[in-house]
Amino acid sequence: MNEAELKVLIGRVTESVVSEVKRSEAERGISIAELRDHATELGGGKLPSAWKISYDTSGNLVGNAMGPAAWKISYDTSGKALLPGDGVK
Amino acid sequence: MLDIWKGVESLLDSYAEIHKEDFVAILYTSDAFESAAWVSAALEHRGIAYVRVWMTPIEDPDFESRLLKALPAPSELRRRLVLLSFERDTMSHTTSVLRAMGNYPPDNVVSLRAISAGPELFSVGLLPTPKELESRNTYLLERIIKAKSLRITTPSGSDFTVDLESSRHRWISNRGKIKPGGTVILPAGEVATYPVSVEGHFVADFAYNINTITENDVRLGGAPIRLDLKDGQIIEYACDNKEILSFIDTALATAFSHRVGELGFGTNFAVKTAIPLNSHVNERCPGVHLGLGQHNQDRSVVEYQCPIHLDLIANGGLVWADGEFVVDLADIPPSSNPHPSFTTDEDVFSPESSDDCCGLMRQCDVMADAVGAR
Repeated sequence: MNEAELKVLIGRVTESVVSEVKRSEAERGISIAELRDHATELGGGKLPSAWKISYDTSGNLVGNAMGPAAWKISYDTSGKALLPGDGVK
Repeated sequence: MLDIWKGVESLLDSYAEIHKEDFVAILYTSDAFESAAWVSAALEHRGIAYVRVWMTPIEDPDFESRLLKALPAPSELRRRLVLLSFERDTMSHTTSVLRAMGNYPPDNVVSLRAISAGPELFSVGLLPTPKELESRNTYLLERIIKAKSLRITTPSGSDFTVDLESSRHRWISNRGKIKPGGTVILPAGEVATYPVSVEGHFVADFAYNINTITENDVRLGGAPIRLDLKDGQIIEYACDNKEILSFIDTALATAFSHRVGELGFGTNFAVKTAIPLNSHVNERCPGVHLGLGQHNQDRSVVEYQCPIHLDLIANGGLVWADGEFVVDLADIPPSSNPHPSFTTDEDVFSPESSDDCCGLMRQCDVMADAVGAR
């Protein structure tokens, strides 16, 4: 696949993903993500790197009482292993 | 675009070891829609069956039911279920993903979860293969895991010593290698442990990485952060950039955040330049980082807990183990030996998770035997 074909493929699939995101957020009445429509013509093969998704997560920003953590590094293993069929035991 | 595509293909071929009869589930948050699109495009091009499941980060009450609905029944799988997840700032729903994986035999399911999803994850972070990362992790571990003390210097001016107790504190070796029924965190390329004590001066000149959402430019090349350390705690810190200093002031206002909870060495040799985003790609750079605040050990071993984990990252460095020079971190050669069996693989989880997050067996007893502690 050459670069031009790659751009067309990615453009088409990206349009599908963006529609999915908008639909999913609308169904849940969520407005935590705001699509910035730098690239409005997805079918024109614009590179996805022209877009940016931003979160309005003001409660999570540092400086606002440090908010909820986005991820954590501690964990508590207790010898549990993933067993077939039973979920984590 | 071609660099990104190369990383996508590396993810599928070298990390996931994808096969045309696998079924792939792509889990993604809105801020990682590009990553989901690139991988979807690659799977479509290869004719591999897949589904996408969108999720909200951290809290999503319906996520598990949507995920279970999207996944095939175990009897419908022709080969493996491969879960690929992409989030830019977060690592979410660990428990739900594990529960979903538990419905399949371990040999038929694997999970690769990317944090800091974005162009650089693919164009930089995923270019080294797991085998290449594993051989460099092995080289480091062979030389430092039995040491009682390390001395570390960096081109930026660091000079500090670290006391270790490897019979008690586990080592994490993050190298992107999948195991049946397990989870891999991406980007990969790090070995880390808990330092019993840290003394000296540390200068972070590459970047910082914090476990909260921030839009700051995290690069430190223009204004390094300087720490003075004693008894494993920061006693003084400074930075010539007022905004960075203010940010660090805020982070270190949290209880226990002055404690050094992690000694880490990045081994991902493709990471040469810091990126401005708050990203694990930066943390994997060949060099040394100190993780302030939350540690990487079981609560039964190191008791304190801290909601903040702030990695301060220095580029490169030289390491002496018990007085003997062992490695230049900027140029870690590959080891031809097998990777040690007594390390834990992964290091990042969603905030709600508290149990065995990756389906891994506890190996502390094995580790104790390996270092001759008993």
